[in-house]
Amino acid sequence: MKRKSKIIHIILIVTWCLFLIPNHSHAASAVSQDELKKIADASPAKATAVPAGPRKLLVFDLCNGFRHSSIPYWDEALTIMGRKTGAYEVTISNDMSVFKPESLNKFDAVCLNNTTGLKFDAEMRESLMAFIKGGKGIAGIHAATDNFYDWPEAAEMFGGQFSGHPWTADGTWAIKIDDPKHTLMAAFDGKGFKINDEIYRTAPPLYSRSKQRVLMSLDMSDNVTANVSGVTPDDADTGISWVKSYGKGRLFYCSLGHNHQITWTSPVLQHVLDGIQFVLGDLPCDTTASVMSDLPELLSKVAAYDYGQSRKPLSELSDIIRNGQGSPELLSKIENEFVSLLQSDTTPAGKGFICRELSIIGTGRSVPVLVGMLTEPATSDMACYALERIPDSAVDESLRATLPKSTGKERIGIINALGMRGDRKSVAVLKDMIDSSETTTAAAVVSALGRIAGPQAAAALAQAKSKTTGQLQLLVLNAYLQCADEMVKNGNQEEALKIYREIYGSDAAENIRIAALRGMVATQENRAGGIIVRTLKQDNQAMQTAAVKLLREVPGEKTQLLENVAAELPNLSVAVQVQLLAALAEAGNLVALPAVVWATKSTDEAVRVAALTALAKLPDSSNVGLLTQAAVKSTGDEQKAARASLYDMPGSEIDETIISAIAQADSKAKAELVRSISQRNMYSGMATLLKTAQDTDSNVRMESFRALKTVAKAEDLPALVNLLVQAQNDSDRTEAERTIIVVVDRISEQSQRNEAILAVLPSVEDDASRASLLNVLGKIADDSALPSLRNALREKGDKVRDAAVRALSEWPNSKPIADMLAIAKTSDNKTHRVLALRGYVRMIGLGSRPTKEMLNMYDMAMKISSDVSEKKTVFSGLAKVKRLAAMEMAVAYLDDKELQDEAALAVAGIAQAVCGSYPEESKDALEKVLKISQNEALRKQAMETLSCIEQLRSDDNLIAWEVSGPYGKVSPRELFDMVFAPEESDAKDVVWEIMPVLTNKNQAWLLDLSKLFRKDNCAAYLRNKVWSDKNQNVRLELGSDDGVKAWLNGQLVHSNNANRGVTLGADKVEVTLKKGWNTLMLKITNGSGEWGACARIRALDGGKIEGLRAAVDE
Amino acid sequence: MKSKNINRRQFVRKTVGTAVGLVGLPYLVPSSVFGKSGVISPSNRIVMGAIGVGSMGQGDLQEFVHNNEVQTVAVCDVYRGHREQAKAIVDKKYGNGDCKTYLDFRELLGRGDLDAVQLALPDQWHGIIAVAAARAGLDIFGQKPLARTIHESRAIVEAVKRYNCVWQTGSQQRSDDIFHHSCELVRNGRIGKVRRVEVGLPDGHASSETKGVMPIPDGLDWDFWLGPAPKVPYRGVCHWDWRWIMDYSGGQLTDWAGHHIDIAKWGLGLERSGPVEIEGVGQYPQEGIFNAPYAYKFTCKYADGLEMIVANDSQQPKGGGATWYGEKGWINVDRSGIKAEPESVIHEIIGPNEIRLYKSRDHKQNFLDCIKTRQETVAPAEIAHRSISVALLGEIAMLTGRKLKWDPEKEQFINDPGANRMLSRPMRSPWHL
Repeated sequence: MKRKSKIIHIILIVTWCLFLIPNHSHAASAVSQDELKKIADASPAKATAVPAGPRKLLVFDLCNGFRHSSIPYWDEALTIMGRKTGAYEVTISNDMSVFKPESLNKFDAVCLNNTTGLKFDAEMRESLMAFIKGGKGIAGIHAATDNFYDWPEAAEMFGGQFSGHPWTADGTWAIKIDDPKHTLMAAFDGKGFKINDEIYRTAPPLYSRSKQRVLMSLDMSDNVTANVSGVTPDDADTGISWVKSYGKGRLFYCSLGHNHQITWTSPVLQHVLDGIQFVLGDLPCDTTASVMSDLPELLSKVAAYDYGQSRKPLSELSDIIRNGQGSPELLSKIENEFVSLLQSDTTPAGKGFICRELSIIGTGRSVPVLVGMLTEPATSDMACYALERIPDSAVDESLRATLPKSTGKERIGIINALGMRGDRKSVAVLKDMIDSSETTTAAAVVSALGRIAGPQAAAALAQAKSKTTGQLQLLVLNAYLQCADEMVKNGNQEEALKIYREIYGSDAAENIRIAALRGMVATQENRAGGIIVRTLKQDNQAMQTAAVKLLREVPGEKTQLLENVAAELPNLSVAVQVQLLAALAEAGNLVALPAVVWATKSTDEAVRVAALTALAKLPDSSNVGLLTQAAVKSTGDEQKAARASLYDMPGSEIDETIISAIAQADSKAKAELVRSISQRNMYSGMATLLKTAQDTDSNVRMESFRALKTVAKAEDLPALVNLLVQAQNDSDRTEAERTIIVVVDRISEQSQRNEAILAVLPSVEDDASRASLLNVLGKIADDSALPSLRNALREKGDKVRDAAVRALSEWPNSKPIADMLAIAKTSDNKTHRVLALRGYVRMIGLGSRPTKEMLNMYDMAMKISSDVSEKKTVFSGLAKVKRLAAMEMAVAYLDDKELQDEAALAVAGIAQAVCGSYPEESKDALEKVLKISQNEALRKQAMETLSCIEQLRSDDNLIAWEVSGPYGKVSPRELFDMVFAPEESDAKDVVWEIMPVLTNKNQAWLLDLSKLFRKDNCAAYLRNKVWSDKNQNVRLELGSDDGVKAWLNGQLVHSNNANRGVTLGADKVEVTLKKGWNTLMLKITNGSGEWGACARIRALDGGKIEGLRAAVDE
Repeated sequence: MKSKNINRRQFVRKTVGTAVGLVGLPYLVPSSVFGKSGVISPSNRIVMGAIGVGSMGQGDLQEFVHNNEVQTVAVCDVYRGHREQAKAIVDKKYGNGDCKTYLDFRELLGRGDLDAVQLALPDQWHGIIAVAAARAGLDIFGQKPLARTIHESRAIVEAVKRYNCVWQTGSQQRSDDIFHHSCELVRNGRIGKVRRVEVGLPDGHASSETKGVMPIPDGLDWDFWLGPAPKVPYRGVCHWDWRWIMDYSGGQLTDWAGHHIDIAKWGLGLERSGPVEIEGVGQYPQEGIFNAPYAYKFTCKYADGLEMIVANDSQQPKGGGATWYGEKGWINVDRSGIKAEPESVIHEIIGPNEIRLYKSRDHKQNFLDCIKTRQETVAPAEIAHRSISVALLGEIAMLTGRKLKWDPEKEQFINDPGANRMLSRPMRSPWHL
C-alpha cells in the first residue's frame, strides 16, 4: 500500500470509529469489537464508482445446509463498507418471504452471504428471475454456490455449483489473476497472491469460461495448490471469482470468505465492494465470456498457424470447442468464424485444423465453402475430412453433384465419403463407374457400393462380378457378400441366401466360397447342419476345415447335427479329425462321446492326443478309467493330455468316481488318481489321502503327501501329526513334516499354529518322532513353543536335543537369546556351542536394541568365543551395525593379528555406510585400515570411501541423515498423505538407521533409497539436524523420486506428490532457519523403480551459504 | 487324398493341422507328426508374413521366427530401415537370404502362399490392412488396440468372421497366469459380487517439443506411413511416438486399453458386451506436437449398474492395472503381480467344478495352435473390439464433455448425433476400408 493512502486511511478510521457503535443487531454478537475494528480498518475508504442514486442491497444469509461461522463477519463487512463508502445501504434478512416481488423489488441487488441449500417456491423463483433478468443484480460470497440443486436455471445463472473443497481452510493457496486489466480487479494490482482460506470447487459444465468472465482462479502451477489430495483433472481450471450478464441483469461471485480474517483482508474487500457496485449497476465492466473475448485473437493465430509454431492457440481453441459442446451459440459463432477463415488466406496448416474441428461441430452452414474446396488437390482431402461426418443431406447432394466435376484422387475421396455416408442415391451414379479404366477408382466404387448396400447396390455388384477379373473381382465379390450380410441384419434372409448360394456355387476363389458357405450356415437354422455334413463328405479338405469351424456358428439346438458330424470322424483325414475333435469338445455335447472314445484308439498319435484332450469337455464317469489307463500306459504328449483331462473334467460324480476307483486300483493307477485329487483340489478326497499316505507303495505315499499339501485344512492337522508319528521311515517323516508346515502356513491365527503339535508332543515317546515334531515347531517358530523347546534341551535323546538346539538357534526373533548365551557358554557339545553362538550373534541384530547394548553383547560373544573362527562369526554380526560406536569397536581389533582381517573388513564396511554422517571419524578409521591391511579389494574399497569423503567435503548437499522405512504398501497417491509413525509427534518404536552413502562418488549426494530397500509403493523418512549460526531465510532445495514432503522444526514446509526422477534442486522452498540446531525431516514416496532424494540449503539467490552444518543424532 | 491343383496355402492347412491345443488345456505338440526330434520340415510349417516391423513388429517377428512351427517368408514396412532389420532377423534365423521385403502391404498380401500374417502398425492403419488380410483369407496376429475407431474395429470383426479367419490380438496378458488367475478368482465370486472396477493405465505426456517441418528421413515413405490419416509434413515424430498424436492413436488410453480394460472385463464376464452410459474428463497437452490426453478419467456404467472407472494411474487409488471391488474384498492385478484384500484370496485354487476361463500359457503359441485346430484364440477379434470400444467411448465422452448413452447391441449412441459422428474417421483418398 502506498504511503499516502495509508495516511488517508488512518484519518478515515478515526472518523469511522466515531460512528461505529453497532446499530444493526443482526448476529453482531459473534464478531468482537477488535474484529469489527479490523474490518473497518481494512474496508475501502471510498467507493470506486459514485452511486447513481441511493442504492439498496439485500444481504441474505439463510442456511438450510451447512452454516459458515463467517456469516456474521460478512454481514458486518458488507454493512460497514456500504456505510463507510456510501455506496449502498444494507438490509440483512434470513426470511425467504423477502423474495416476494413486493419486497424484493425495493432492492437494487441481492447478495447471498454464504447461504446453503436455499429452497425457492415457484412464486419466488419467478420473482427472483424477473428481478435479475429485468436488469438488477445478484452477488454471492463463498458458499453461495451451495444452492439451487433443485433449480437448474438458477444454478446455470450462477455459473457454478459447489462440488467439494479439496483446498481446506487450514491451507494457503495460490491464486492467479486471469484478467488483470478488468475493472473489478484493480484491488490486486495485476499480481497473483497466496491466501489462507477454504476454496470452493465449482466443476464444469456449469462452470465454464464459455459462459462467464472469470477474473481470477487457482494457480495450479503452484505445487502445493496442485497437489492437494482429492484434486481431479477438472480442477485445472478452478474459478475464484467471476462476472456475467444474465438477461439485462448482472452476477458477481467470489469464492473467498470462509475464514474470518478474509473480512479484514483489504484487497478482497475492495474486490467485493467493486463487485457489489457492479451488480448494483454503478460500476460497468466487461462481462463478455472469457473465451469469447479470447476468440478473435485465437482465430487470427489459427489463420496464421504453421507447423513448428506454438500449438497453444490451437489447443486453446480445441478446449473451448470441447468445453463449449453444451453451448450451441458459442459453437455456432465459432463455425461462422471458421467458414470465413476457410475463405480467407488462412495457412494450409490452419485450414487443416479447422477442417478437423468442423468434422466434429460443422453443420449445413459449412457445406458450401467445403464443397468449394473439394475439387482443389491441395484442399480436397481435408474438405472431405470435414464433410464426411457432417450429418446434413446437403452434404450428400453436394458430393453427388461434385462427382462428375472431379477427377483422380479428389474423385476417389468423394466416392469414399459417399460410401461411408451410405448414400443410397449415389448408387445410380457410382454403378456406371465400376467400368472405370482407372482401377483405383473402380476399387473405391466397388467398396463404396458394398458399404452402401441395399438392393440397387447388390444388383449393380451382381452385374459387375462377371465383368471384372482379378483383384477387382475379389473386391466385387466381397462387396456383394457385404450386401448379403446387410440383408441378414435387416431380416431379409431369403435374398441374402440367394447371394450366398450364387457365390458358393460359382468358381470364385476358395476363400470367397468359404465366406459364402459361412453365410449359408449362419442364416439357416434348419438346413445348416445338412450343409455342414455334406461339406464334410466332399473331398475338399479346405472346405472340410471351414465346415468344422462353422459348426460353431450353426444356430439352435445341435445334438442331431453333432451326432451326424461325429459319425463322419473316421472318414476324415488326420488334420481334419484333429480339428473336428476340438470342435466336438467345444460343443461339449455327450452325443459325441462314442466317436471321441473311438478316436482315443487311433493309430495316429495326434488324433489320440486330440481325443484325450477332448474328453475334458465331455465329462462322463466312464472317462475316469480310460484316462487313468492312458496316463499309466502312455508317455509324452499323450500322457500329458490324459492327465490334463483327468484333472479338468468337471462334475462331482467325477470326483466320486476317482475316490472309489482308488480302492481297486493297482499302484500305478493309484498314484495317478491320487495326483488327480491334488490337481482337482478335491477336499472330498481327504480321508482317502490319509489312507494312501500309509500305502505299501512308496510312490503312492509320496503322491499322497504331495496331495495332502494342497487339500488339507487346519482341522486336519491332528490327522497329519498322527501320520508323522506313525511314519515308518525318515523320508515319510520328512514328508509329513513338510506337509504339516504347508498346512500350518494357511492358519492366519498365530496362536493356533502350534496347537496340534503341542497337544501331541507330551504323549509321543520315540525320539525320532519327538525330534521331528520339534523340527516342525522350529519351522513354525511361534513363541508359544519356546517352553517345550527349552524343556527338550534337557532330554536324554541326542536327536531330540539336537532338534531343540537347532530350532532355537534359528528362531526368528531374539526371545531365546539368553538360552543361546547359556548353551554357548556351558554346553559340553561342541556343535551345540557353535550353533548357539551363531544364533546369539544373529539375534543381537534383531529388533531395535540400542547400539550400546548391542555392542556389549558382541563384546560378550567375543569373550565366550573359544577360537578364531567363532570370533570371526562375531565380526560378521558386528559389521552389520552401521553405527559409529560399532566402527570404533571394530577399530580396536585392528591390531589383533588373528582378527585384523575381519576387523578391517568390518571397519571398511561400516565406514563406507556412515561416512556421510561421520566423515572425520570414518576417515581416521579408514586410514588405520590402510596401514594394516594388504587385502587389495579391501584397500580399494577404503580408498574409494576416502575419496568420496573428500568429494562430499566440497559439496553442500546434505548427506548426514538417519533413515526409517519402508512404510506402507499402497499406491503412491494414497501413500503420500498416509501418516506413518515418524510423522506422529509422540511416535515410539521408530527405528532410525544411519543413511548409508551408497552411490559412486560422482553421485554421492544421491540418497539412494532403492538400493537400501528395493520396494515399490512405499515411503521412507529421512531426518537430520542442521546448525545455523543465525536466524536466516534460506532456500531448501529438494530433489525426489517420486513424491516429497518436508518438515522443518516440526512444521510442514513443502509437499509435492511428484512422479519423477531425482534432480538437484527440482523443488525450491523458502524456509526460515533459526539460530542453533534445526530439525529437518523428509518423506520420500516411491511408486515403482528408482527411489531416492537429495537436499541442500542455499541462499535465497541460490548462492552457497557458509556456516551451515548437518549432523545426525547420536 | 486325391491330388488336385491346390495352392501352397491350402496344402499347409491340410497337412499342418495336426497339433492340438484345446481350450482350458496346456498346449501339446505331438512331435511325431512334424518329423524327428520335433523339427518340423519347412514345407509343413505355417508360412507367415509380417506387416509393420518397427519395434513392436520386430518383437513379434522374433518370437514367430524362432518358433519351429513357423516359416516367415516376407516382411513389409514403409520404412526401409525397419524392413532391412526385419529381413536380417529372418535371414539370420534361417541362415539364408530368402526373406522378401515389401513396401506395399498389398503386394505382400497378394503373394498367395501365406497362411498367416502378423500386424503391428500405427492405429490409423489397423482397419484397412486387417480387413485386407482377412479378405485374403489369412489368419492374423494383430497388435492391440484393434483399431482407431469403433467403426473400423467393427469392420475388422466382421471381415474376420466373414472369411472364417483365426484372429489373435496382441493382448498377451490374457496368456499370463497372474491375469488369468485374478480373473478366475473374480468370476468365481471369491470377493463377492463386484459393483465397481477401476482400471489404471499409464499417465500420458503433458507436453512435448514443438517441432518444425523436417526433411523426410532416407528410406521412409512418409505419405504411405500416413496412409488414411490427414496429410501433414514430416516433423520428426514417426516411429513409436505416433501414439501420442490423435490422428494416429488415442495416447496411453488406447495403447493400454487392450491390456487392463480387457482384463477388467474378462474378470467380469463382460468381454462381449459394452457399457450403457459413459461420462468423463480428459486433459490435453496445450503445447508441443503431442495432443493425446495426458490425464483422463471416465466412468462407464453397465446395464446391471456395475461401474467401470478408467483413468490414468495417478488418478486411481490403486495405481495401475485392474482393480475389482466386491462385497467381500478387492483384487488388483497388474504386471507386477496380484494384490488382494483379504490377501489369502490370491492363493485360492480354482477347481474343475468352478468357472474356468480359457487357458493359454503362451500367446503366440496359442495363435499357432488355433491355426491348426481352427478354434477361437484366447483374444479373438470380437473381444478385442469390445475392449478398445471402452477406451474409444471414453475418448468420445471426454471430447464431447457430455454424459453419453450407448446401445451396446446396435453400437450407437442414443439420441446424440454429435457423438455418433465420432464413431468413424474419414480416410484420406485413396484409402478406404
